[in-house]
Amino acid sequence: MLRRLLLNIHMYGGLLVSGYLIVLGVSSLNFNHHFLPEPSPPVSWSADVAAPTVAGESLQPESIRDQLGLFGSVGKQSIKTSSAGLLTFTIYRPGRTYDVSATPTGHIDVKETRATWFLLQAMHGSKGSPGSTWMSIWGVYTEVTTAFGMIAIVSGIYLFTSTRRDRKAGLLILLVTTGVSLAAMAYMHFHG
Amino acid sequence: MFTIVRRIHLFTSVFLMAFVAMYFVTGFGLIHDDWFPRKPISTTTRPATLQYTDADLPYDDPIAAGEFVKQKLGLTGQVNPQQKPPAKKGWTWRFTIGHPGVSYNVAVAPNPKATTAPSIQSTTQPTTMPTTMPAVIKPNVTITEYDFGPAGTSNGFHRLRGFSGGWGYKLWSLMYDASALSLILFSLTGIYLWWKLSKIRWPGALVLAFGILFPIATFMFLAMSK
Repeated sequence: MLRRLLLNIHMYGGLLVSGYLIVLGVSSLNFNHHFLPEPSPPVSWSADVAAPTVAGESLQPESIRDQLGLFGSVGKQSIKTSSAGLLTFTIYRPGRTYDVSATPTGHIDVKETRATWFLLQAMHGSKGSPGSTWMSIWGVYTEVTTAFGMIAIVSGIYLFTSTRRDRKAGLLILLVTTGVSLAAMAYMHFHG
Repeated sequence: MFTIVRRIHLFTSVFLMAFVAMYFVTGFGLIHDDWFPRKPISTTTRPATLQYTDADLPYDDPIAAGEFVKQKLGLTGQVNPQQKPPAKKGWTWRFTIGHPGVSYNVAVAPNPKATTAPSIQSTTQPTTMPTTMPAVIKPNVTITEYDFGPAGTSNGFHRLRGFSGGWGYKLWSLMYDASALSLILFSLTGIYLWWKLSKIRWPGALVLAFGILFPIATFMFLAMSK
């Protein structure tokens, strides 16, 4: 009864996050080997947004982002205003970077950098992006996958030990892998 | 075929159990960085002096340059695998060296020049005293050390990659690659096993459709949206 329940959790949970696990695997390999194509050169475009009509108020980065129909987080360190009132800042979202400059009258120049294949890296562990409902759902999926990873380990140990087939070989791999990874961690932590 | 796939699934899962468990546990800390802050718990800065030739800090091989600096300054850890040279030859090098939990930012300015204090003409000192001060070498290196504490150490292990830094790091990188491949194999073999083991497939097919289509749709959404 318990075995059946754990097998179902393991199996259906695994099917639910199977795509994410592949994204994690491919992006992790790229973190180590950098085989994905580099970002393409930036493209520039312009637009106009509505400037505040109330005296004393000025355009804010988040307002410009929303009016341009973009999403992503505004880099707080990147926000600068020149003496002539030119506002510059950068918006970051998975796979794109927007370098924005805005005049007080609402004319916007954008330099957009696209890194399409790096989206896989950006999706790796993403917990969402400001202004995007879709990416908020992806953030929930990230949480589910992380939780399932831990549940899969516990249920996998139970399923593995409840059958005699390949138990010795599995235990040997487990012991060697655990030993090597703990030794490497100890070396790096204590030796540096 | 079934037995081979089952074995691959089992052995990759056992491998993942040992190594990737750490990634899921530390990953939890990463996506909840408000609960596990990763800011340094202490920062110290100290000056040092380093004399070097152009061959010691090869402009075309920033990792080798970092290894030289690490060794000469007695630092431990891995030179950042993404280490870049300065924008122009002869400018200050900025290295990031460290290991999980500790990071060093090292700024190495051009070679120090010995400066000599001006001659002192004194009539009150004995004639055996030197009339010039000894040469003084100004420090040309600034080492800033960040200690990130337990949460930062956990984050450091999660983000550790690259083959430089010694045998421990090479071993780690090999395990890292093996675990990334295991994740892919574990997922694909799991789908095969579900297909072979299930008598009623439609519930699993629905869950699998979501599990495969949602990442693809997210990729497309991010690639095609403005």
